[in-house]
Amino acid sequence: MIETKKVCRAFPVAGGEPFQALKDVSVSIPREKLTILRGKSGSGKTTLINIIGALDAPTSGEVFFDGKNITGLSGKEREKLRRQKLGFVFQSISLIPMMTVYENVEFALRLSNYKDNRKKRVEECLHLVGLGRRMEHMPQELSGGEQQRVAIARAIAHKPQVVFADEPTAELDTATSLTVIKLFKDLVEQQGATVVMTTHDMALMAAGDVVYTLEDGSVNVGEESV
Amino acid sequence: MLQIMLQKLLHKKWMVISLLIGNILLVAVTASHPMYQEASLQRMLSDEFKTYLEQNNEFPTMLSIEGRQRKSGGAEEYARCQEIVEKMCAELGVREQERIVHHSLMVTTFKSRMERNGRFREQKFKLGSMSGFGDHVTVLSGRMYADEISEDGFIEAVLTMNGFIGMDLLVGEELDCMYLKDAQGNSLAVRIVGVVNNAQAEDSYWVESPDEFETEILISSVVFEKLFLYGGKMYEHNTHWYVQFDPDSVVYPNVENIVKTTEGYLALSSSYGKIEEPVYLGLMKNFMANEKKVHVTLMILEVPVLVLLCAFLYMISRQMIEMELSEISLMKSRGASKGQIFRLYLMQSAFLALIGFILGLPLGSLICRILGSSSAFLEFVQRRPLSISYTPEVFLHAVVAVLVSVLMAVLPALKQSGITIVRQKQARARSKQPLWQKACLDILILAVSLYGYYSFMYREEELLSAVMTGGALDPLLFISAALFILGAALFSLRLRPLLVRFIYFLGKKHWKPAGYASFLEILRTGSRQYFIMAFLTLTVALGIFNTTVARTILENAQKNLVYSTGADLVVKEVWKDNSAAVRAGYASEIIYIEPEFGKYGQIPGVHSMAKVYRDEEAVFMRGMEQLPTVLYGINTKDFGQTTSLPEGLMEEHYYTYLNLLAKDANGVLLSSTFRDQFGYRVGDEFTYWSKVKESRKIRAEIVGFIDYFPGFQPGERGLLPDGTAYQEPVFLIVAHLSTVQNALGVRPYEIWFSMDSTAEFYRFAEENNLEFVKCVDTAVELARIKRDTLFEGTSGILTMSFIVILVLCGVGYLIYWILSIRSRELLFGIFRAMGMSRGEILRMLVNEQIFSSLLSVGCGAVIGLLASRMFVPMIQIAYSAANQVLPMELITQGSDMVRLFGVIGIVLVVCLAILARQVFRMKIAQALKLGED
Repeated sequence: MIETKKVCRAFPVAGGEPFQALKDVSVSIPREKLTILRGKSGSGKTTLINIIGALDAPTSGEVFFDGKNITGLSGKEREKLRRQKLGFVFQSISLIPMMTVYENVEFALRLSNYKDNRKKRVEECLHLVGLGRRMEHMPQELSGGEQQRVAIARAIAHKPQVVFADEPTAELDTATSLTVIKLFKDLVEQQGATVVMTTHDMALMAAGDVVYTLEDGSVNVGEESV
Repeated sequence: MLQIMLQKLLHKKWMVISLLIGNILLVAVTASHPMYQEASLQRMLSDEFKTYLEQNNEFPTMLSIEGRQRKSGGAEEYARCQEIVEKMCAELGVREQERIVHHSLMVTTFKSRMERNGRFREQKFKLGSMSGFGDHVTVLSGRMYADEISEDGFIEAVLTMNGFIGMDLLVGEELDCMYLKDAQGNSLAVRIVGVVNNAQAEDSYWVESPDEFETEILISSVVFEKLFLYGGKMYEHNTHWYVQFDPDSVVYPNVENIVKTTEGYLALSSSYGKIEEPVYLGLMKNFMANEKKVHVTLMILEVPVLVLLCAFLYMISRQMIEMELSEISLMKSRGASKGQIFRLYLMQSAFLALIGFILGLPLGSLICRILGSSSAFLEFVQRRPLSISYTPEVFLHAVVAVLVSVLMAVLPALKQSGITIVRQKQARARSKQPLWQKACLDILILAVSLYGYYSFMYREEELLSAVMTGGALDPLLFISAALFILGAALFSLRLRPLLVRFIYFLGKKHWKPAGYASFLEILRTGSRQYFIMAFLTLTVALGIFNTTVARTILENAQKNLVYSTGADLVVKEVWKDNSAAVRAGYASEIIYIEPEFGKYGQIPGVHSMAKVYRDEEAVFMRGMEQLPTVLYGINTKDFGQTTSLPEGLMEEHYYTYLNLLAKDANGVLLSSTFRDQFGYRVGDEFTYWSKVKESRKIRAEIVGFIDYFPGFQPGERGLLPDGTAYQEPVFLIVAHLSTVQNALGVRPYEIWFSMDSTAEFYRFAEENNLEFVKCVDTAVELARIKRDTLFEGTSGILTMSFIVILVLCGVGYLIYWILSIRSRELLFGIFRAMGMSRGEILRMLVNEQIFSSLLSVGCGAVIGLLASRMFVPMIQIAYSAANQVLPMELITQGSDMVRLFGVIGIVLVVCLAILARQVFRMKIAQALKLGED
């Protein structure tokens, strides 16, 4: 589905050598699987997920999406890609605070220019994450786990090809984290979604179909299948 | 802690800069108030003295105390009087410039030793002395007296020129004083040694003109005092002290003391010696009445801008703290107590306020200088600078400003220092209705101001009478106006969400994501922006209101002046006549010799001129009653070319009425008071005459009625003893000059000019030695109005407020938006991650701006115009007083609006540019990271 070839990403450091966040990273994200990027904080996993999620561009190397090289895409084209084919879940509360749960999900549909019955789709997604009855609440009135589930509903609403989740469980307790992971798992297994997720939590790794481990900006050789 | 604070400040440089601007302006505006007041009142006081000196050729700061000493006990009486003079001068607290002591004995008999026509003449003269006399005279003949009795036993004396003629004495003549003796009982004799006159034409020493010493022989005051005062023999004796103090030493805070002291001594006057009521007393009382008026007016005018400054500081501080909430929670998590955090903010604001204090004071004095040179709204001239001093009052004001500033900065900190990040985020979620809205405070304020408005509307006459008795305008009127602006601004905030909601629902299904998100943002979190919206509305409304007040006041006063003068220049030359012959009985009637009129035509720059015979002694009959009226005799063509009236003042154009008159040699135009009071109609026959020649009744036909005519006051305003104002109708007859001259003869008329500049006229007048009974120069009078402290102060303060408003509006708006964007960076990151383009985010912001900022500007404009329409006519009363003739006209100058909206426009564009830059520079990943902190 997505493949990176020798991707490097350097961040300029004021008055010093650029910091090499990623060094020659080559990974392959399989379709309809839950891929986990794991590593300690600072290992480069967020940088990597930003690059494969078309949020950031590599300093060198190439990224292929569905076999198409997306490295050289313009900002506009990347926006279109994100809007229509990708969905994002972030570590922190990433819901739009002034919109209700329903509106948050619907907004993703508006953005991707979703033509079908939007109301039906929103309700469908929220039922899927188990929040069908809290549609008119404001995000801040929900618990952390609930908010993250809304974020997931929003990320999948426009039927993206890949859903990216950057540390989606970092701010959640273990029990809630497991619910969220289970949700991703269900999405992959029942809806046939492709999910890429980063985490530093060893306990969650078992859920991944594919796991890449990052250390100091490099991927340890060999993918670990479970 | 100091280090933490400085680090914190360095990181927020934009905020710090805008807080500094606010602080500096607050201190400057606050401190400039007493500075300007002091300086301008001082100038007003010395102008008052100067004008008096110029007009009366007499020093106004002169005390005149006259003591009379009797033959017995005179020495004590003199000593007591002297003591009063000393005490009074000391208590007045002014610098003495000159003190003249004029001693004189009662009239006594002198016998000349010179034989005239075979006998020695006995005459009655006064013997007197003036202190410092020798320094102010020139000797015309003979020499000056010596300060001691001559060796051969004569008292040396001089005469003034008038005395020399009047007393018919000669230089060298010796006179025996028949009834005067020295302490030893020896007879006294006087020798005239010289004739003197004043050394300089203009000399403040000559309180009593040298001409007044017609029957007084003047000797040295040293000799006088030795002979008749200290240890000498007492006679009935007059001592007149003239104490003249330096007008520049009269400082305005001392005026009240001077008036009180003077009045106190005046009350004692009869029992000790006679104190004449000094001229300065009236001037100072007049000044004190004006001072109060200026005081109240300046204060009232400044309050709104001070309130805005405070609001500005509060707004920025609140925004700063909102941005620092995460830091606050971080500090708290590291164990900082609520008190410590509070102290940090206290220190920070005190630090900024201190800088504001240091920089604000010089800026304040600069503002004063600018105020002192403002001739009209947003206009400045080079003028005699104000002497500005840093009095304790100035510092007191500045310190208060600093305290208020600290309070404004600390208030939001106090509110927030206990709050946790979670609660804050919750609070942001759903905007609650603010307290003032729940309490209907806006409606309440609006209602109060409207009540004030209506009650003042019915009391217009009362306002007028208050102003005419020298009072200031009721501050409540200004407060009503300010409250109206505030109330209406808040009320508009209440209406605005309804409008936004309406537009939102119109296209709920169809809004593009950017529009949709921005509508939700405005609707859901709109109340967070209430402050900036209210601020913007208030500044625009107040800006418009200020310009309208300033322009209206000044231009109405000017127009009124032009109207009541009639033309650019109005003069009345001195006419020669045969009045001497009439008095002597050689002629029965005064005949005037008309000076040549045509000569004025050669003065460069004269467009046209007209003879205007103005007779205030004309009369007409109404039943059995003779009623006074004003009579104009004019040449319609010349008059029409020389004068003009503002358009739309009367039903028809002003020239139409002149043409009506021109067609009928026997016609007259009457003031409409004739029609309104007595029911005259066009075509009626009308008889009038003038008291200057009662025998000639003039018959005329009424050709028209006029409400206004150049130089004519249709009504005389005055005050009844009970304090109510009244307006008495005044009548005017306008006839042909030729008709009037046929009846009354050629009598002195005025010449009205329409000209470019009057300078050429003055040169011409001087070259030809022309003398005038009357000379009114409109330009000079206009300049006088502009110089008037009340007008100058008003336009100065309104100008300053306007500029401060522009600065605040610009800085406040910019900083508020930049900060509010910063605080929303995470949100933009989310939008961007979801695939929104930068353009869309910018569009969203633009949309938000339209509904918050542009709508605020629009509301502000409407409210400002409304407030002007309602309140300016009443405020204007304070400046118009008794001679307002023309109907008041609201003046809103386009150029001011251009300035105001220009600045706002520039600010909006700059703001958008900065927003665009921020949005485009924003890295999504970074923005998201920011949110993760």
